[in-house]
Amino acid sequence: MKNKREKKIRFETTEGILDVVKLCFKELDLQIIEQGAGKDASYVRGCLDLCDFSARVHVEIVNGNMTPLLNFRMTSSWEENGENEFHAQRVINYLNRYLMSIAHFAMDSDNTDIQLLASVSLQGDRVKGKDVMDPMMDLMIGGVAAFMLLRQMLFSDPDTEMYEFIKEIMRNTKC
Amino acid sequence: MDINAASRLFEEIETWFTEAGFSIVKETEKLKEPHTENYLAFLSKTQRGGTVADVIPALIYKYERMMVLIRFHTKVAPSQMREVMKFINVMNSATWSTFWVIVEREAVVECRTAYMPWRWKINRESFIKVLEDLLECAYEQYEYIRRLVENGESVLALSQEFLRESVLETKRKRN
Repeated sequence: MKNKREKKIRFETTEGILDVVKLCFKELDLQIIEQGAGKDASYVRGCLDLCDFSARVHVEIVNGNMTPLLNFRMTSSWEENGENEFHAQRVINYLNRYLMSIAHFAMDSDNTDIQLLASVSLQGDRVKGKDVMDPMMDLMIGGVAAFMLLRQMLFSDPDTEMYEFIKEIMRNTKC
Repeated sequence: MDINAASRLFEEIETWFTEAGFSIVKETEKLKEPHTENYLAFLSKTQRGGTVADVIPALIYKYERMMVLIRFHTKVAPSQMREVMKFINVMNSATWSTFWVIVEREAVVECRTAYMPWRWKINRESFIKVLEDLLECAYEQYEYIRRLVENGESVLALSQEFLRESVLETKRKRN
């Protein structure tokens, strides 16, 4: 069944790679809210709604100068009251330091939403479904786990409790 | 994952520096740190335009991926910490493939990127390209941090300038 599906998708094209991304969205029950193509990239946007966590996911496929790039962004809001923005930035910096990851966290400068960003280079002469599916799944599943812990960390003492969270994240994520 | 291939790549890293217009300050050496069971890492020191940086390529065994860290030693006064953190966050929210962290106690700011071997094989050419891009990008972006720390330029003005330039940079890389 899987082979049949792979045969239908032309992975060497931006649209073909994006089709695999959409399959990932479907497997993870992400509702597609928008898709399109610009001059440099094709993109798809989805919405993730779990019982205690929601996020917007944007994936774009860009033709890089050597190989296609898969750019990934997961964005989630949090209750920011204007006083703890610096604390949140410290927490994010701490996480980015220890994750040794393809992904990093950042706060949206306009609205203080928190984002997880990553860029994966899809190498090889011919991109196959697995080359797209594996990093996508790592980013989605690991990203949600990291986000859940980040939310707890936002209300923790960065000097005493942080390392425990990091250990937890490193045990559970591969993003 | 071929650890020996990674080790050979890291040892010859100096030749790529010189080809890319960076001079060698200190010869490459294998890092001996307490966590060597988790990763293989090397350290070189390179220089351009009077700015010295540590270049640390590392192979993280658990995640089967490589990280490259470009480390700049810079003293950030406690009174400047908020501003630097804020600016680093602006840069991180605008870039997908690289990110900055600040190590407060060690007076270090660090630009990082990850390299994922394709199907567990290290592609020499693409790794060299990643390293060259990161070096260029790190030196270019560090200049903004230096202006913030040493010249006391405003975060707002630097952010606006960075965001204008980073759009151009993205376009250049995509082409």
